[in-house]
Amino acid sequence: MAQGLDTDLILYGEKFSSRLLLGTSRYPSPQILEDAIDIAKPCMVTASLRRQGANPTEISSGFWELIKKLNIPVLPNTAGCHRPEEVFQIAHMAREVFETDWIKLELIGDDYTLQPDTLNVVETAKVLIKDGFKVLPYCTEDLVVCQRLVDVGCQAIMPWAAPIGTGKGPSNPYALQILRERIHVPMIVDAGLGLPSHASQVMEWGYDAVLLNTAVALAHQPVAMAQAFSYAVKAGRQAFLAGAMPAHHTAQASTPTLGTPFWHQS
Amino acid sequence: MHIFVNQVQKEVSQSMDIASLLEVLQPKKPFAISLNSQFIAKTQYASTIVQDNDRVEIISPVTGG
Repeated sequence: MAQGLDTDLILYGEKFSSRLLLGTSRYPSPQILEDAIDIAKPCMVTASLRRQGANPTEISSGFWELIKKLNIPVLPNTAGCHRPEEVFQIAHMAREVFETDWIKLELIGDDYTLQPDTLNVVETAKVLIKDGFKVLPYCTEDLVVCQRLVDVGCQAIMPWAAPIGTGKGPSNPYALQILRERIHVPMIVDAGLGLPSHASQVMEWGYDAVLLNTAVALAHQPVAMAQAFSYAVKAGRQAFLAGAMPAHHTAQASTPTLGTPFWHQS
Repeated sequence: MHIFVNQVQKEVSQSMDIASLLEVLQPKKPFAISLNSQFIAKTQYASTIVQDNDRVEIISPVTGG
């Protein structure tokens, strides 16, 4: 990163030096998760809450110890909630367990696509903000919904690129670019990214950060992929700040034509 | 009386508060508690009485995306 070009990511008044948020699920082992976090250096890692004993053999058996060891900010999510009342309960439980006001608001409206419930997410966010939470709402690229989220006090927005875990990359580039132009709070693309080039793409559009999980966890070499995404986020950010050249429909020679030997007029 | 802890039926004595129930169950820390789908803060454990057929949930941190 060129010296002095970038600034910190600021969310709810807090500064973060990284623009990558990393999920902690689906890694082959706790060690690989730890190594991925270590190399990617995300500004936050996401976590969730489930019944004790529900998955005794799962990676989560030593998850808390790992989180404490890494000493990295945790962003609890409300994954799996389908009703605002469920979100409120999980959010309060998360605040007590993780000792943080941060909450990734996930209110699912459709199980097949895991599409957020855009009809209820705004009011849900409003209640959480009133209760003192720093809400990062997972939403679609719908401009009006995102604007309403800002109106009720969300100081950052997290539109999806594509459905969770698909790795398809931005499925609606036009809407995401318009959204970036119209919304003036930090925006984090959350869900659906599969390749580092996807991350670079949205960062080039001016998005402030990306949140990843499956693209790293299910890579053949998750640690190497975590590093690749780390580079991609920085590259995309730098490109945005540098300002891309305007695209042209016709070729424009980069080598000077003046003095070309054997010149011919086509 | 019967209660349900994480969906498993348990036999407990009458008029037991959450704090006493947790002393019996000894869940792994950290955890949070809900009673009949309502969050119960730590500060309320001693004053919240469990009733017959109540549903207690004990939840803990797990990986998430």
